Amino acid sequence: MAAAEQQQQQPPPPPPPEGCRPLSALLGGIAQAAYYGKAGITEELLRRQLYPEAAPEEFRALRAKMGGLLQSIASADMDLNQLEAFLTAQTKKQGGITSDQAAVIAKFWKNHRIKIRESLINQSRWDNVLKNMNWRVDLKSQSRHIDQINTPVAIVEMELGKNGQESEFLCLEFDEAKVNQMLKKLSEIEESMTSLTQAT
Amino acid sequence: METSLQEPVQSQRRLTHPEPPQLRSISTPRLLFLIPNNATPLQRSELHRALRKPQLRKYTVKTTGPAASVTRGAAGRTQAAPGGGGQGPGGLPAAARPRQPASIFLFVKESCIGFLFTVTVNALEGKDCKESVKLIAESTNLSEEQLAFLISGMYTLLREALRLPLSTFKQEVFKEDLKELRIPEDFIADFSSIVFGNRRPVSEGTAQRSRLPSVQDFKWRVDVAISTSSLARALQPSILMLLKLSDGTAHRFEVPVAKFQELRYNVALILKEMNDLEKRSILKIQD
Repeated sequence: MAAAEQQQQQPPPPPPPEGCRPLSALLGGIAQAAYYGKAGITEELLRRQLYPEAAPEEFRALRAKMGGLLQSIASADMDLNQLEAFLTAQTKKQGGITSDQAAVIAKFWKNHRIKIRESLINQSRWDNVLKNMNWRVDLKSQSRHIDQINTPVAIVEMELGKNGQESEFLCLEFDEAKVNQMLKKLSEIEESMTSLTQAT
Repeated sequence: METSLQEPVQSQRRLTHPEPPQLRSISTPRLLFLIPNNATPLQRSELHRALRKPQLRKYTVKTTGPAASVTRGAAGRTQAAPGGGGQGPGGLPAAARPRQPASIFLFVKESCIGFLFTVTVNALEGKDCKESVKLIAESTNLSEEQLAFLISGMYTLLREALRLPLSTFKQEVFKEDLKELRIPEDFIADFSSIVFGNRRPVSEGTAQRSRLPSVQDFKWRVDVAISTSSLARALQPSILMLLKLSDGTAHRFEVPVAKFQELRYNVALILKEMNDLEKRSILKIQD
């Protein structure tokens, strides 16, 4: 199964004949397109590679069904129990899925849950985001007005930008007191977050 | 023990930090000494003679306070004659070593000294002091020249002292230096409160004009998105930060939790690096 997914991520080779393998690959393809931002994976490509015998309408229906299921699962971020209940309900539903398909979906979700959730959280972030930081510590020795400064200063470069857009670089200078102050604030944030996560 | 014995000598050298000779004659008034206020007419005439000497001008200022404290102005704007203002064996400039006591009596009100300190600090902070000096000049009987000597003397003394890094420059040493320079007790406290206390001018501002912006205000907020268009229950904390910078701009950005941990780790690392750097002996080398 894992091999089939890997094949899907690479340029897909001819599909294996077994029933569940193309489904797993299809789920992978849907996730790539919907959650991992790979726009190149089209319905036509998936059909040709995975279900060459299926008629286009037939395949479209399958893809839409699987996409819908995956969306429900992802948006609720189901744990294993929830997923089992959900899939059981789907197999009993008229026009639902087979238990083989349910097993494939369960397996797929188990492997992709964390990555998909992360990507969804990133999708709900559209402001400037701190992407990276760089720093160095300089030693100022002299300046025009002061003979012996001899105090270290930190030059910090922060990369800020929106997802998928060019970033802006913010250069700041900190003396020791400022760094200390900053660290204190960050500790406050940390505290507030731990209290939050422990409470929930 | 050894260091404490050596300190005063070092500090004298620091206070009279040599400047390039061509600058000295133009811009650095020599710090002169104080003379008791019971000078005789003879001593007075000596001073007059001294004032006429091109290489050395000096005068003293007396306050009317009961303590009869005396402060001194600085002189030496004149073209440095050969040998004038040279370094004595002790490290002090020749002019700073006590000479024949002589004095002119200049009556300076206590409050006026306060003004002088304020003006000097303002000048060190790079502010325009024209108006305040004019005010002082009107309210005292000091001549413009005498006032200029006083202020430039205080300015030079403080500027030299403020140049020294606080980490190695000790208050006691500074007070000793001031005593050496015969500054009256009353004013030593004033001087040292400027160098070491809360009156220390924000001369960093003037000194580091060529710096990058720094953070002036830092606001943060921990957000927890409950539900989003793509996730029914997100419940993922994320930090919103607002940095207001000294150049007046503000930057708002989100920090994912993982990035936040990275940021915090790096800030802690910076602080540690700075502390380590300060411990290195290269910072303790004095000229």
